[in-house]
Amino acid sequence: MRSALLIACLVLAVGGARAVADPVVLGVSGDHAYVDLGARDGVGAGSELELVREIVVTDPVTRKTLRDAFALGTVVVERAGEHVCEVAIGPDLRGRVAVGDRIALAGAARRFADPWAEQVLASKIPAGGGDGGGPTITVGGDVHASAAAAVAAAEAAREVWLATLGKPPRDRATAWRTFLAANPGSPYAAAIRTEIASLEGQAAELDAAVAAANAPDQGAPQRPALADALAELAGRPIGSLYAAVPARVSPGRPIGVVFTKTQPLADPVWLYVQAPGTRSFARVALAGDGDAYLRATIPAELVRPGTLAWYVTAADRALIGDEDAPQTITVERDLAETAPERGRTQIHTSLDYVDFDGGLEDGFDQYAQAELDFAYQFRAQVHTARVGFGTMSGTGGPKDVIDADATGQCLDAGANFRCRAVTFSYVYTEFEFRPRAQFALMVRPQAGLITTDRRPDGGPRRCSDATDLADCDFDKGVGLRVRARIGDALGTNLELGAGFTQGVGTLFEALYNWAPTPKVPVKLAVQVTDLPVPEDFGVRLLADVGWRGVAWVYPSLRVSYQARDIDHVGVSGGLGLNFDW
Amino acid sequence: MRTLRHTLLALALVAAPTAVAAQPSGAPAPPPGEAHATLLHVPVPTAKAGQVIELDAVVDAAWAEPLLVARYRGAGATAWDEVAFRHSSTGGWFAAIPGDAVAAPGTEYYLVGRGPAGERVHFASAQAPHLVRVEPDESDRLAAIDLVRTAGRTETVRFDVDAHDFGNRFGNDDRFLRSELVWTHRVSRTLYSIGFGFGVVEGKTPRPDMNLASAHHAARYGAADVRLRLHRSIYADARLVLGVSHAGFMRGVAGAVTFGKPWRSNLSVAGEALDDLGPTVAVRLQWDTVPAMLMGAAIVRTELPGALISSSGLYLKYDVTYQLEHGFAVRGAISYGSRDGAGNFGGGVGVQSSF
Repeated sequence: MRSALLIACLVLAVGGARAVADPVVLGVSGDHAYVDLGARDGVGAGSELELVREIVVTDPVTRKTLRDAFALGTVVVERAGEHVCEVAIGPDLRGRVAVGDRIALAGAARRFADPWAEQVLASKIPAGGGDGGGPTITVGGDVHASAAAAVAAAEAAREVWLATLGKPPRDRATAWRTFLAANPGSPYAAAIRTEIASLEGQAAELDAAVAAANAPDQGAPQRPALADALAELAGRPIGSLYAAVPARVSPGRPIGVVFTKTQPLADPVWLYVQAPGTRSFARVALAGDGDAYLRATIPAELVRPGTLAWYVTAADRALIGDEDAPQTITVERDLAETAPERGRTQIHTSLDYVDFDGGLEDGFDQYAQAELDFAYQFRAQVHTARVGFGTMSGTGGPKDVIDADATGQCLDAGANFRCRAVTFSYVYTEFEFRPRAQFALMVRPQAGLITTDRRPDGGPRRCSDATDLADCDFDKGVGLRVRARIGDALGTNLELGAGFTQGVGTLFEALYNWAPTPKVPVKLAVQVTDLPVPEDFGVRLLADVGWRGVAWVYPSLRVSYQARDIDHVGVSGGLGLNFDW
Repeated sequence: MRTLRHTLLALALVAAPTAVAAQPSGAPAPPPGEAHATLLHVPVPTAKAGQVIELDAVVDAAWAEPLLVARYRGAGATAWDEVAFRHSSTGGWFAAIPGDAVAAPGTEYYLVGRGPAGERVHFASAQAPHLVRVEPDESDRLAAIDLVRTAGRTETVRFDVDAHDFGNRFGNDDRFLRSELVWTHRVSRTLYSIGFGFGVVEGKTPRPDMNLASAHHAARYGAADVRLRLHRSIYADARLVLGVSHAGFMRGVAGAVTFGKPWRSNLSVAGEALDDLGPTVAVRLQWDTVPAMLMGAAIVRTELPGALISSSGLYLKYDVTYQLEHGFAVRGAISYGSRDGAGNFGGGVGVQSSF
């Protein structure tokens, strides 16, 4: 019955728009199509119809319009009304049938009864002989009058039926009710009541569909079937949510996150986000959006390099992840170049004169050392790199010989000259590692040229400049110096170090850096060394005081006391100039 | 379900027998209470540049809005394009945002449906569209940063002259002068740059017999340069040298590894070997803490210009490059070192233009 009504609707819908023409496909829905052929045309369930596609082209030479038709295939009618039938589209034609395709009856037309007409006919059967249940129309025993009355009743019902076509089910039911109220004795009353019940059922179904579509937005699909369909398309959700959250992002940009709900969520939904390097989760409100979505933006300030953790809850109920097992977003390393930072570069120069025997220029245990180095703080795995150039030039020998020679010529008992002048010109590269904020390790390989002059009347520079190279030795010197710093690099700290250079000597030191005021950096040190020649160890106590009048440069002045024994003592000093950029 | 579908089809045919033409954004919204479709999809969080973004959806009550569209635009664009959802025989609805609209930093979209009564937003909106992030890979990100840093200048031409006088205890000449004109093209990828240059070396070096005058050594050469970015902060340079020297055909190779970016603070270790002119090794520290200036200090051990008496030529070199406007830069250097005898000074100047 409802199918018949549907077909009637279809006929009404298209009837006004189509003039009488060849039958065509009216509509396609999945593997079924609707055709404007029906029982009126000799078509019914089981009839075969031939689909034809008309091709219209223009002859490029004659400019004439050419038409031709090609058979697409055959379809079988599943059911038919008076004017429209529904056909099944076989697998071979699926997707190829289009609205407007012409169609023709493949076999001979047959006779089919309109189910509505049959019902009407059945209703006319006298009581006890049919299912109409209505009164038989008799007019005083006049057969002709009775027949005329029956025809009039049928016409009246037909007029109402025609008037209801194309109208919503509830309007049609109302029309039939009105008719029934006006014609309570209609022989079609039983059938009409059945139709009213059917129409009201359809109306209720439509009302429910519309009501569901128009229900206040709960933020979730109204039909569980829709969630099932989405699951088929996109896989199963996490709980009741699909998460659209990127797995990997670049830093510094806010992250928009979206969750698709598959069922209503009565409680407020929250997104919790933990920025890399932090211990607490920040709560971000998820706002409803569109048909069934929750959206939020993770602020850019939380999107820092590392792993960003998140989870979603509704009230106290975990929806996706939880605090102990959150979901994660990998935030990539920030590649943007920062502006050059001040205070990362140091240029250090120093000139140190060390007199161990108090003889100054007339003595035999002195050296001068000058260094120039450039340092840059990368503040990475290698915290600081330093390259430098230095020269150490001096005279040395066995302290016992120096002290014992009353002539002051460094002659031993056999009148042999036992001292020598040494110049060591070297370069070095130093790498500073800072595994902890309060601890640094500095490793400095160095290499250079050692020039040794053994002539009594020679000196540290003779072999470098003279063409007479008698008593001159030239060697390569390779060494290593290691220092550890404990404490704040820019404040108070303690450095412990040891260095050794082949052919030159050894140095152990403890250095205390201290700044009683920001403008007065102070260094106090004790050194144990056999420089300038590997003979006897001595001790140096030195103090270096700077003046930082401006931020980028400070000079310093140092004094030192050194001795190899209590009688082999000297006092000397040095200068330093340091640049910080 | 089938009955329902038929019913909806019939209603659609009756109520809206013709398709609604595409409307511009801002079409009136349907009045409250009107029937509407429900569209569910899993929003696309990320995409790759140039690749189509497929939107897969399921729709309920599609009959109420015969046209469902995705409006999209490249992030930052002002105009919206749109693509209609198509109903698949498998039941889903599909739309594809074309690849030419997909580029970093992302593509925005929102979903609307159009029914007889107007337009209804189903996901996001023109005011708050959903952003499909297009995350560039590290190479792309570095290239973009490079593009900003260089203001789009990919070519650099530089001319340098450097010299050092080692001096000699016997008064013989021991010095060299080297000049190069090099063109570099920057790619800013793993293959960071390529270049080609011409070079000249002129020098004198003492002979073992100190009574003889110093030997004249020289070379003219062409050099092909390649710079690779091994890591975002490690660069490797390789150079092939072919030319002619005072002794005939000359070959050479050179290389350097730079820890840090070459245009920022870094530490580099370099080496070069030239037929007839000898090897050179250097360690150089560069820093950029003074605005517009790059300063470097290098320790150089070299046999240039083909030392005959000793391989111990060693000098310390300090250089400053000052960045002028419009891609121009000038460079100055001073060096101090010796080979045999007391140390002496050297230096260099250079100019470069990027465009």
